[in-house]
Parts: sequence; C-alpha cells; structure tokens
Amino acid sequence: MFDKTRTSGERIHSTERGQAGFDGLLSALRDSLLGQVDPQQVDLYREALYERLDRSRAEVDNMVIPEAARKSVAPVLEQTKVCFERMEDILELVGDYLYEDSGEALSEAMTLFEVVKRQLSRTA
Amino acid sequence: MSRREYALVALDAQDRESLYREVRDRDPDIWEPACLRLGVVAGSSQDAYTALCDLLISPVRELRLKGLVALRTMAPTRPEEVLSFLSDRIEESRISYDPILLDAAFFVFAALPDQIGQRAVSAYLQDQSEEVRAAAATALPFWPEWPAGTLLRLAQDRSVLVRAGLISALNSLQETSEKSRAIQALSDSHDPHLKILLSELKGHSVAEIEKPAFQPLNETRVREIIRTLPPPPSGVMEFGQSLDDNPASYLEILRAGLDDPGAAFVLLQLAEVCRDSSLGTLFRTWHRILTVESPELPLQVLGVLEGADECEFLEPLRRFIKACAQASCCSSSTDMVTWSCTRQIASAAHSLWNPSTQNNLSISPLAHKWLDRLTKLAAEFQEINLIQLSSLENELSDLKVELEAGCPRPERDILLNVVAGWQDVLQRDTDNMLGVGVPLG
Repeated sequence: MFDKTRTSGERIHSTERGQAGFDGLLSALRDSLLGQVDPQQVDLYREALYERLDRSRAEVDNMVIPEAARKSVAPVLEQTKVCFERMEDILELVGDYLYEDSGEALSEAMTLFEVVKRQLSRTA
Repeated sequence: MSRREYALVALDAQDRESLYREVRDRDPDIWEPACLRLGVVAGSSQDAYTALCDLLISPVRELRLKGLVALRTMAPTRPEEVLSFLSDRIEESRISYDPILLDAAFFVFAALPDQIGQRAVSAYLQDQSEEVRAAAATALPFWPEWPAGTLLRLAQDRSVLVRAGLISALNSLQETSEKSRAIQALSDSHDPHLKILLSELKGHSVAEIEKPAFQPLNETRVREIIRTLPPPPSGVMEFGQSLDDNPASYLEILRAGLDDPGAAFVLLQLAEVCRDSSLGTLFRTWHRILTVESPELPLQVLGVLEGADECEFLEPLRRFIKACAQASCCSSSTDMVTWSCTRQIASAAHSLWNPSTQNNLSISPLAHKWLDRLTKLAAEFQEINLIQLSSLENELSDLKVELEAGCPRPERDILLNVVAGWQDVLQRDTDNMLGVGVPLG
C-alpha cells in the first residue's frame, strides 16, 4: 500500500544493501524489457542474488535438526531445497537472456518465477 | 425500455471486458458511467447481471457500493430482484454497519417503480435498528408525500442518529404543518449536535457554510481522544482522516496509546471510518488482540486477517500472526522443536524471495526479532529430557519478562499468549516424565 511508488531502480539500489529478493528481480526484468532499466543493472542484481542464495543454502544445510523433529521437518526441508534449485535455475536463465539474448530463456524464467512463488506459498 | 431496445445495448465480448474493467477503476469519472451502463445491460444480459451480482456480494466495500450504483439503473426493469438484493444489503448492515453502503441502498429504493420503494422504506422507518431507521429517515425526500404522523414520530425517536437523519431530510422536504411540528419537537432535544444541525436547518444556512479545510490532529489531541471513554465520535472521525492522510505518523501515535482506556473503542470506530480498507482490517485485528482473552487468540486474529481481502500491506502482519498461530498449536515439546526448525527453514527461503514481506507499517519492526528469539529457544532444545525441559522453562520465563518490557503492543499480547501456551505444554510434559497424575499401579 505504501510502497507502490518504489521503482525497480530503487529496488536494485536496495539489493546493494542486501535488502532485495527474487521478486525484485522479476520487476527489474520487466522494467528492463520496457527500456526503463539498463540490462547491466539487472546483471548486477543477479550476481547479488547468487551470493544471497549461497548464504541461504548454507544456513539451511548447517542447521542442526534434533532427532525428535527430523521426520516432521523433512518435507519442508525437501521443498525448500527444491525451491533453492529452482531459484538457481532462474538466475541461470536470466543470464542466458542477458548474455545470449534468448527470448526462450526469459520465457522459461518467467514460468519458473510463478512455480517458485506457488511452492513458497505452500511452505508459508 | 423494451426488450428490443435492450438488444441495442447488448455488448460484444471486447466491450463487455472493457466495461467490467472500467467498473473497477478508481476514477469516479470512469467507474460511475460504467456502473450506469452495467445496470442498463444487466436488465437484458445474463452475463452482465452475473457481473453486477458479483459486485454486490464482493467482500470489497468499494465494489459493493459500485454494485448499488449500477443496481439503481436496473431497478425500474427488474424491481423484484433489486428489492430482494436491497433487503439482503440491509440485513448485512445489521452485522457489519457501513453508513455509506446503507445510505446507497436507500438511494436505490427510490428508483423502484410503483411505490415499491416507498413501501419498503416506510417499513424500515420502524426497524428495530437505529442505524437502519436513520438511513431510512435520510431517504424521506425521495418521495413528496408521507402518511400523517411519520415526521413527528421520527422527531420523537429515542435515537439521536434517527433524529439527525430526519433533520437532514427536512432540508429537502416542502413546508407543511407537520414539518413545522416535527421541527418544534426536535427543538426540545438537549443534544448539542442536534441543536447545531437544527440551527442550520432553521436558518437555511447549510449551503452557505463553508467546509473548514482539513487540519491533521496533533499528537496531544490524538492521545486525548484515545484516553477518553467513550471517545468522541467527531474526534475519531478527524483521527481517521489524519490516518488516511499520513498513516506512518499516526499509526505510531495510536500504537503508543493502546494501553489507554478508549483504545479498543477507537480501533473499532477507526475500522469503519478509514477509507483505506487495509487500515480498516489492521484496526479490526488490533481490536481483536486487545479485547479477546483466549488460548486461541492467535488463531482468532488470523481468522480476521484471512477473512479480509489479500493485500500487500497486511502481508508481514499476516505472516507473523500465522507463525504465532502455528506455534500456539504445539501440544508437546517435540511439536515446539518441529515448529522452530520448520520456521527457520521456511524463513530462509521466504526472506530470499521477498525480504520486504518481513517489515512495513503493519507490524512493529521489533515483533519479528522477538519471534526469532522464541524460535531460537526451541531450536536449542536438542533432546527431550527433564534437564532440557527445565532449562527451556526457565528461558521462557525470562523471555516473558523481557517481552513485557521490550516488545510493543499489540504484537506483545500475541507473543505472550504463545509463551503462556508453551509453558503449559512444558509443564504437562514434565509432569508426564515424572509420572505426576499417573495412577500408581
């Protein structure tokens, strides 16, 4: 409600402070297609997200799960790891679009955005 | 308009799509004419009629209002359906009072042919609900003549709201001896608001009075309003305007006053007067937290949020409350550990996807930090044994004290509710391990 005026440029700026996420990358891509954001900026954003993805993966991998909870936590853990893989796929596809101008890669990335969004809503 | 003429206004698929889009536009210059067209087309097209019905039963009150505007155009051609819809809207208003929608419903009654509308309004003038009687009284000028005694009876109504509705109607009614008698009866009232309304009526000065420019309230005045029991309605109205104007500052002031005596009343009234529906839902949520004492508080509060329209603004609060509701459902120490691990894993993925879902004005920035503290407490719980249970019990007691001092309301109330539930669970698990309450063989 109070954040509608934020442009993807501002979101990119906030990535540099470690604040933005994958949903911001989607907006940045859209703005880039409209010519409102330089593709180089999108690439910087992508690199920042690679780093954040690695950190989040390490955080989850290093989590010590007590024996008593291991069985119940397993499905969420599995789903989250799949989400991380999909997020990495998105970053690679966006790279293919940026470096090889592959419209097919862009279209596939957009589809994956929706898939991950749905998967995450199930782990909310 | 005949069936043949309606055929002329039938729309093709593209026009229909554009019409349905325009109806949902925020600009009144676009949605108002679109609603009128929808009402005309709905008289002959089943699709448009269904679209209109969707508007009328929408959970979004702006859309319901637009539905009523469209319904007015349809009223002369399908009076029975329209009357049935209006009756439903009046029934709804008994559950969730919305003065704007109620007035709009009575505005539509006026479009019904053959005195159908006047007969319905006449019945509502004697309704048991003062809000319904008041809205019906406001609709009096839509018909020039009323049975003798109607005005006088309303002027003597026990409800100030109804008498105020009558005064606004008298402005538009022609001069008669009954109108004079009604004014005389109203003059006997001691209510200061009615006296002002009446003086405007007598002097016919309504049109000449200039509306004062909107002045945001200062913090001292807001705190005065929240401290007063019951809070003054005009003050709450101004507070609502100030909130719509500058939510960031006024939410902070309101949050600071949640311990004040009038806070719960103010929240309930603000939920009705704020134009922004997400703010309305926020205040209904806060009101529920402040007024309900139940082990199921987080679930009940989640019910308020899940029942409202989805919106980005409330998402951080919804996620926080959902996490608390899940925590409060733990029935064993193993459940608590599972909740904690699940939350840590899910948070890692969610914050990577959209970090902004963690924070905005709907939730105190400190709330997540306290929830994280609770999460970490249970995560350290590696083995279910008496020493660990006792240690967690002590840490929960310490956390409770710190929460009371450091976490702002209303999130504090929810977290304390979860902590209390967890303390009960630990006590039960400890008793079970010690064999307390188990009959000796």
